[in-house]
Amino acid sequence: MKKKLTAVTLAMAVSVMLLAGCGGAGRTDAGGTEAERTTAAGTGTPAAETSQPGVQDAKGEAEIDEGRTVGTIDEITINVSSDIADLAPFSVTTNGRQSVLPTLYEYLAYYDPNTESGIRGILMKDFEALDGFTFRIEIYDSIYDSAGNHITAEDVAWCFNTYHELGISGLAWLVDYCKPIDDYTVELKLMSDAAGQFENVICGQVPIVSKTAYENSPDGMTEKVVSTSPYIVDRYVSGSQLVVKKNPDYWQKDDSLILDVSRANAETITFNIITESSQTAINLETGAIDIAQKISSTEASRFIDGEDADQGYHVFGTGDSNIYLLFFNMSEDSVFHDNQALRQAICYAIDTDGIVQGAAKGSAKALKAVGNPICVDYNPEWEQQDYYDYDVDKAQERMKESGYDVSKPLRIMCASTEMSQSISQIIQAYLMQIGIQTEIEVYDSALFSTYIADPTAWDMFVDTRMNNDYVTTLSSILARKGDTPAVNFCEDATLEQLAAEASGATGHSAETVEAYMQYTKEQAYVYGLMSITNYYVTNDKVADIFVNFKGLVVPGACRYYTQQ
Amino acid sequence: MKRRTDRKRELGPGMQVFGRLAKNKAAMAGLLVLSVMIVIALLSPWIIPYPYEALDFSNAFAPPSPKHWFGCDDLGRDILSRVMYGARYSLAIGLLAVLVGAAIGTVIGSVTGYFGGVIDNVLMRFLDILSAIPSILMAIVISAVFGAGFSKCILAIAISTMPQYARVLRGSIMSVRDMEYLEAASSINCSNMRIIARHILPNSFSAMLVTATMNVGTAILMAASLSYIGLGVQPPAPEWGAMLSGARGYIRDYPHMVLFPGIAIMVTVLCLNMFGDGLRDALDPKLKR
Amino acid sequence: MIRYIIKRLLWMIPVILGVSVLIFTILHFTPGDPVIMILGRDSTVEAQAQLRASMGLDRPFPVQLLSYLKDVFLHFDLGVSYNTGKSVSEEILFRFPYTFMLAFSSMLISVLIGIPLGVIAAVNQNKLWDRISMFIALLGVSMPQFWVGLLLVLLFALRLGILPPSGIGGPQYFILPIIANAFGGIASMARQGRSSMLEVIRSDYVTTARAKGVSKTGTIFRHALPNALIPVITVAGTSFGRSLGGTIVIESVFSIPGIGAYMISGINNRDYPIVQGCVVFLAVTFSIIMLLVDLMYAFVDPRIKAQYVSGSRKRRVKNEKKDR
Repeated sequence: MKKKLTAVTLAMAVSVMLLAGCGGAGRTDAGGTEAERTTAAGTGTPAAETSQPGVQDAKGEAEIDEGRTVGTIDEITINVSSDIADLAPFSVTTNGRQSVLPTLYEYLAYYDPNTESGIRGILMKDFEALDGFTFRIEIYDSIYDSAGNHITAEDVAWCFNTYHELGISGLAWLVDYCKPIDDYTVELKLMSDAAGQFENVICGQVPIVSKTAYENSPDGMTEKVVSTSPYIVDRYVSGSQLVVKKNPDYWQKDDSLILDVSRANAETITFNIITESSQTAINLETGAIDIAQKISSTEASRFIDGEDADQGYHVFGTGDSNIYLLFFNMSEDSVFHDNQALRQAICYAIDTDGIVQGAAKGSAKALKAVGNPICVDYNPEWEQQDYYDYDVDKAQERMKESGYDVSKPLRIMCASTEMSQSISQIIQAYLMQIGIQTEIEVYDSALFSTYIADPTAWDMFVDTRMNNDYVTTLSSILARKGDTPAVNFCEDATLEQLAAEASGATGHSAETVEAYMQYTKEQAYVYGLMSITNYYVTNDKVADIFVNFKGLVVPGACRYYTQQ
Repeated sequence: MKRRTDRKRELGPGMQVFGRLAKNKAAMAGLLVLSVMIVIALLSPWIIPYPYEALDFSNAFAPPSPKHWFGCDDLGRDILSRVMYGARYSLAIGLLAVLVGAAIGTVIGSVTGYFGGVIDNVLMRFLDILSAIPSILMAIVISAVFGAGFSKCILAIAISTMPQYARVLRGSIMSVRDMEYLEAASSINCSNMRIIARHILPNSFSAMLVTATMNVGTAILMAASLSYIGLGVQPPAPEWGAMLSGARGYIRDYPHMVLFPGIAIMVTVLCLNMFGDGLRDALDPKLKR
Repeated sequence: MIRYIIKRLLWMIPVILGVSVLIFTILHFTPGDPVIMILGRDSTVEAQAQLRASMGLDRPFPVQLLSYLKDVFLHFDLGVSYNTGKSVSEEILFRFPYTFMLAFSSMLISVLIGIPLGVIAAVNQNKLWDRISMFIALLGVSMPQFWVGLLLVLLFALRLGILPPSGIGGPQYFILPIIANAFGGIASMARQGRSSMLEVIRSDYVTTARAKGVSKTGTIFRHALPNALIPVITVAGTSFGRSLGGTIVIESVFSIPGIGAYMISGINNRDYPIVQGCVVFLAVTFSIIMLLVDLMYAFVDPRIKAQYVSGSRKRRVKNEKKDR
């Protein structure tokens, strides 16, 4: 086996990267954008928000053509990348379902990192925090679902409890109880006071439906949905297509109170399941869909400056809520246990900019901390600090300190997604430079999830973690939870202490976050690799898209050029 | 297909078969190309122009050029080198899957074909069960059990195709087992094992050989399908199917990434089939001119 | 004849039982925990244990197996999906028409293309046309299905813009998937067509006909072809049965909501009732198709009909060999 990656090649790669500039790197800085838009068409300066010419910030002001009317449209079609499986409110969350749930159901609130509290009520009129754990939530008194059922506090509490009892969501360890206080107020108690927990629970977890409607539903709403959403199901072909129509009798009559996410700017929305990713752009170009969400950077670049540029397509980009991380196995028998020098050696040996260039084709941003730059508590100063910036000499030095015997290859485990595989292969090449031999073990998502729990199955693994509210939310994967070990079997009381201080709703401050983050960086139990940019391409019917905090397009909330 | 093997009489001398095969230009062309492929696969560590796994981002997506005949992939690896080295993986999957499948199939087929009776009944019912499940389905399920990877992929394909060999062999054993020379053999106290090994297997060999040749191609294609579903051989191994399915996202912008591994698979399987067809014609005495 | 059919149908029961036991056992010991798939990678041990218990996955293997078999054989119930709670049987029945249509039409196409190629090859045995037509037939079977599928999409949907790239809808949506799926079957049709044609051409009655002065073409079409087509039924039937499972890749490329796509989603999510249901259902369908093929074969070939009546086991052997 001739495995060699010469320094020359790497040097070339680096220089190419420098020449190419930051590519698609750096997009929104958190506080700078206004995600919720007013209905008046604004003329933003999108070029300032994203460094890539031709790409508009998906969460910023769009380049609206002044000569055309922006408003509603009759019909819009969008792709969904995997099977929706079912439409029920309380069910296992899969990718396909995530894409349609915000259109089919309403939640208590919407999470918007750019407002003061981050939370804006949809069904919720107001809320009050009794302490870090307990909340009083008041809902509007005029909520009716599409079948005319009145939604009260009892329904809300029932939804939380039903979902809780099913045991199929994370709610089991998030929510203590939820009970009605009066007709329109519920009391919600959480299990933890970590920052971001409340937002997560009320904005993204539990769709609210009427108890009566659910119990009267012959199929548990797997196909016949009755909800408060501005859309009602018109047709559902399992495994293929979902068509929804505007609900003419949407409960919220006060237009000023309707959030963008609850708007119905299209009369009919069709969700087309397209499982083969390379077919997505083809569907857009043949007119089968109007919005292509989450297409690869290679395909997107064709619309930006390739053969399909100037054909009337609009390209939007935004930072993904997930970040790519490299986890070191911290269990007792692992080589990384008690060997900080070895972990640091590996971090120094990996050029995250190289990963950005090689795996993400430039459409990503190398991480400078274990946290997503889109988070509200992300400190811009981290960008300037050293975070194991690529340095082979330092890596060699740390290698010597570590006393690690290189004769035994290390195992890098990853899921069988193209991105994770590319990242692993690049890491393998970098580690070869400091003499570490690695074997890549790729598993499908199910096996991957299973083997992560087995400390003997891997030495390092590459994976993504959702991180879109606070950087401290990620500390939950590095800390033990009761009997449940940390994801990488890390047992560090200091870290857990710092994390608890920093992530608690009361303790969450710039100082505690800084202390937590510096310690996390120094210990390098996990190494932040990159945050990728998601691309959305639309045809000319679409003026501006609305991407929710999960990185998915909410078609009803997008704005369209009114057809003449 | 079946009738010929049923009524197949004793093989002519090997030379005669070879003579007939040599006259078949398509089969010989197939054989020639295959031989070249095998030589390339064997020599690949020494003759590939670049290390097959060397990353070079400055060459990412480079189109075919005099420097890189087949161009480079998304990580800047030389595709020609990968296709050449990948021949080891792809051909090995094809050959080993067939060998393992045929070995298990031979044991089951000869036991059941020769002994008949209860053993035959039990084993055949087991094969009935296995063959009631379409083989690609079986391969997918087995791959999910074992996980992805080179050897696991071989095993999945071998198990899912094994019943075919057992049936082919059993069929041809059934058709020869009442023949006089066997009666003669058992009358001189030849052991059962010996009869199977010395007399029956060689006579049933030709039918097996044809099936096996064709199945090498099928196995390579099946491995590609498994890769597509995400259960096949995994990178950085440059197995053709894995290269192909990994590159399909670039099919429009960098078609060379998808074309060359695809053509490699196509040519190999085509040649295997042409050779297999020729072999069958040559082995079939009825088709003598 | 009736007795034979009943016997075959009864025989299906133990086979399907075997398939059910086999697939359940395989999946039970498959690594990859459905509970973790549902709850996510970072879920707590307690939550996992709780869900495992409520799904009945903590029961001993024999208990789970027996309860599954009871559901399948006594209630014809393939269970409900772990993820959605939806009935697997209903979902399969909803999706089956797509898979059936895809498999059946591609079988027809491969017969329509494969048989003429085979006949041309046989009539011109060992001449240039033999080689050319067999080469064409083999080309199709030599390409990975998803590759062919994507290339077809690029040409017909993107460049020419005459067919939709994916999804379901009018008949035009199925043209590309059917063609892509048919490619693989052409070779075996052509092979069967060629060899049985060769056999017939050599037979005495064709020689007699030729001697009587009937033209070559006349002999081929009037005498040889009908007889040569009999074995084709078996090959076509087998290939149809097999492609019911083989449409998996095509369904995925073209986003067709068939059983194959359903099964893949089941495997990816470790939703075992879905995988088991699909395999058992396809096994039943496959067995029924094979029975129909045998009956049809008997119907067109009086020699074999005679064998059925005498109940010879020999026919079984022959059929099994045809299966390959």
